[in-house]
Amino acid sequence: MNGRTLLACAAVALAAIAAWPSYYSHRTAAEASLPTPAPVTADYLNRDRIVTIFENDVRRNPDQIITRMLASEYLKRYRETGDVSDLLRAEHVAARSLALQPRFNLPGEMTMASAELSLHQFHRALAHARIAMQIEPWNSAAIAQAAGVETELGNYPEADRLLRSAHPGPITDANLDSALARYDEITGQVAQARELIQRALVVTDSIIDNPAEARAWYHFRDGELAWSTGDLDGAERRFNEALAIFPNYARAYNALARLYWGEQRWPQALDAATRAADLIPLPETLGYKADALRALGDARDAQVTQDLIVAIERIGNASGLNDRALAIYYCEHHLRLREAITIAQRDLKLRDDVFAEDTLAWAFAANGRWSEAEVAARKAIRYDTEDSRLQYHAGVIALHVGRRREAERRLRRALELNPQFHPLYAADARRLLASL
Amino acid sequence: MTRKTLGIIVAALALFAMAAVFSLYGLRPGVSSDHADSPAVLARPGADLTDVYVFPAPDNDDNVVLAVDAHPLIPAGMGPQTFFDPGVMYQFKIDNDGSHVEDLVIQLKASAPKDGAQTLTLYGPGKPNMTGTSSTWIEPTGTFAYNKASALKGGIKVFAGPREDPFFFDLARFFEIVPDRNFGNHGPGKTVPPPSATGFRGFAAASGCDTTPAQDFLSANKFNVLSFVIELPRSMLSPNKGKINVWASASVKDTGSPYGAAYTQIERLARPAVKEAFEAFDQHDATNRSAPTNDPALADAIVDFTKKVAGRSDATAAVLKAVLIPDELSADLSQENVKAAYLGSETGGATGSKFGGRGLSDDVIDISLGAIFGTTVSALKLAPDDGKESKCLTSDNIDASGHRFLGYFPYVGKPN
Repeated sequence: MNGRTLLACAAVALAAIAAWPSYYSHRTAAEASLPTPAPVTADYLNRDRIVTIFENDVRRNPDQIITRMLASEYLKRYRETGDVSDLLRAEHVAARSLALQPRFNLPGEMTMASAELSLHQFHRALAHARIAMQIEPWNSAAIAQAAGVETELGNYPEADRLLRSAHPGPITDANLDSALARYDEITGQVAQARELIQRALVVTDSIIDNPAEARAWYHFRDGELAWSTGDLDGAERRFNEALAIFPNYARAYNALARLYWGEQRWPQALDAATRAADLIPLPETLGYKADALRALGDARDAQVTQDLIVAIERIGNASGLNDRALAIYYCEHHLRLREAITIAQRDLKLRDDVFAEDTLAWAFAANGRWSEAEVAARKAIRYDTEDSRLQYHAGVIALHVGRRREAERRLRRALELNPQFHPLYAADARRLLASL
Repeated sequence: MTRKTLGIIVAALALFAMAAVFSLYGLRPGVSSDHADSPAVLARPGADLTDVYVFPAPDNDDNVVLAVDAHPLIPAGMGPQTFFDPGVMYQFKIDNDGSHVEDLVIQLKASAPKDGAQTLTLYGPGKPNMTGTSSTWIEPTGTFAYNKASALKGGIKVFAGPREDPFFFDLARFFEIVPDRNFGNHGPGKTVPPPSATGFRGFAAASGCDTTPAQDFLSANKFNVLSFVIELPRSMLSPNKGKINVWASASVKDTGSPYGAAYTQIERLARPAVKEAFEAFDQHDATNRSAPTNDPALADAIVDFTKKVAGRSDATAAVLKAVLIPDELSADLSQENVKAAYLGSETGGATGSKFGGRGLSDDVIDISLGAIFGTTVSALKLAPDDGKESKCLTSDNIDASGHRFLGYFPYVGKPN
C-alpha cells in the first residue's frame, strides 16, 4: 500500500469511526441495555506492517508458533482485501506450522481449515477441522468450525449433531452463534438465525481489540438475514453500519448493490456495485453493475462489464471460487447456458449444499431440461430455506412440470419473504401467481 | 512408550502453558473466524492477564512495586497503537491479614482511546466495596496518561502502557515435548502419539539431555504486552509492613448484576503457570471466575496431576498443594534491602530471599520445573526423595538475558 493510499484509508477510517456512534444513537430500548460498543480499532491500516514483521520473524526463527501466527495474519488480510494470493500464502505457511508440529497443533489445524474452506477445498478443510475437534473436544470454536464446513458441504444432519454437542460457557460464543445462525438460516429459521447473529454482534462490538473487519462482518451478516426476509430498511442500515466500522468493505458494498438492484434503484445500485467491483471484481458484483448500467441506458459499458465476467470465468476463477455466481449470472442473462450446467455441476461436486442444488436446478431450467431441474430443485428446497431466489426457482420449475399447487406455494413464499428480491423475478413471480 | 514416558509427556504438556500460549488460537472459523487461558479471555485479549509481579522498588527500598501484564503478543512496533480495554476493570487484590480475602484493592480504568491517546484512572489502594468476584469502583485517586510514567498523591508512581513482554520461556520446544497440553484428553482407551522431543534443549554436553540451543519465543520475536505498574510505599499495603498476598483480576461489566454497575471477574492470576500447569484447560474458566479461597478445581488438580500424571509421591503432591494453595503471590514486606524471589516467602527464603513475591528476572519456569520434575522439594527437606525426577525436564535453559529491564520506574523494559 503506498503512502497516498494509506492516507486515504486512514482518512476514511477516521471519518467512519467518527460517524460510528451516530449509528448507535438509533439503538432500540432493548438494545440500550446491552453492552456499549467499543471504539473501532483501525487495525487493518497496520496489516501490511504486521505481516512484514511476522514474515521477518519466520525467516529468522521459523518455529511452529510464529508460522501459524503469520498464517493467521494472511487470513485477516484476505478477509480485508479479498486477495486470494493471501489464502494461498496462509495455506502454505499453515502447512509449515503443521510440519514443524504435526501433532496436537490445534491453532495450526484451525488456521489450515479456514484457509482451505475459503479456497473451496471443503473436504480437506473438514479433515483439518475434525482433527482440531479431536484435539479439544470441548472447544466450541473448533466444533463451530467443523459444523460450519459440514454445513457448506450440505451435510446438515452432521452439522446439527455437532452444534448440539457444543456446550457454550457462561459467555456468548460468537463463533458458535455464527455457525448456529448459518445452520438455522439454511433450515428455514431465519428469525432464530437473526437472534443469534445479533447476540454475537453485540458481544463482538463490545470488545475494543476485535478486528474491524470481524466486527463489520457481524453487521453484514445480520443485514444479509434481514434482506432475505424482506427487512430492506434493516438490511440497508446494517450494511452501512458495516461500512462505518470497516470502510471499503467489499462484502457490504456488494450486498448494498444487490439490495438496490432488487429495488431497481439503479443509480444507487451502480454506485455500490462499482465501489465493490473496484475493491474485488466478483462476477456477482459485476453482474449487478452490468444490469444497472443497462437499466440506465449505458449498453456499451454494460457489455464491457459483462465481457469482464466471461473473462473472469476463463482466467480468474482460481479453485472455482466464482463458479456459483458465474452460473447464476449466465442463467439469468441467457448467456453460455450449456457452460452454466457444466459450471453448476462442478460446484456441486465440491459441495452438495442447498445453494449448489439450486444453481444446478436453475441451470437445467435455463436449458429447458425441466425434469432434471425438478430433481435438483426438490433437493435445494428440502429444508424450506427462507431464500426468495430458491423459492422462486422451485416455483417456476414446479410450474413447468405441472405441479401448480407447489408452484403457487413457492412463488407466494418467495414474495412473502422479500417482495423485492430480484428486479425481474419478483415481478415475474407476481405475474405467474396472477395467471394461476 | 512406557507408562513413565507417557506420564512425563502428559505432565509436561499441562505444565505452564502461559496465558500467552493460549492467545495463539485466535481464529474466526470458517468464512469468518481467536485463545487465551479460557474462552472468555480468548475472546477478549485486553482482559488476558499474562503475568503478575511483586518486588521491592530497586531504587527505593521503602516502596514496593506491583505489576501486571495484559494483552499478549503485541507485535514489535505495534505497542503504542494497542490500548487498555475500556470495558475491563483491572485490579490488584491485596490480603494483608492472612485471611486470603482482599483487604485492599487497586483498580485501573481506561478511557476510550482518542487520537492515539488514552486516559487512565487509578482507584485506591482502598477497601473494596465488596469482596469476591463482583466488584465496583472505589474512590478514585487520580488520572494519568497512557504510556507515561506519572506521579499521584501519596507518593504513588503509576505507568500503564506498552512494554517488552518480560516473560521468558522456550515455548517452541515446550510444544514439541508437550504437543497436547490438555492432559484431560488422556485416559483409558486414548492413545497419545509420541512427541517429537522428550526434554528441553540447551543442556550441557555431558548431561545426557538435548544440547541444541534453547530459544526464548517472546524475546526472539520481540513481542510486547500492556503493563500496568504501580509503585507505592510498603505501608500503604500493610501498615505493619507484614506479609501480603496479592493476585490480579480482570472483570467486565455485568448488566445482570444485582449490584447495578458491578463488574464480574473473568480472569484471575497470581503465581505463574500454576493454573496452567495442573488444571485441564477446560477447567480454567471456572478457576478464573473464582476467588482464591473458593477455587473449585485447583487444589485437587495439583494433587491429581502431581501423583497420577507426573508420577511423584503422595508427600511431594501434598507439599506442592500446601505451597500453592491458595493461588496468591506471597510477599513479606518486613524483609528489607533484599530482592524479590519467587516462592521465597513460602519456602523460608530457599529461592533467594524471604521477601518472596516475584521479580522481573526470577526464573519462575525453572523454579516450577524443579519442584515438579526435579529434587527441589526433597532438597528443601519438605518431603522424602521419591527418586522419580526427570532431569531433562528440570530446566528450559532460558534466562532473563534476552530482556532489557530498567533500573528505574516502571522497571519493565521499553517496548520493542
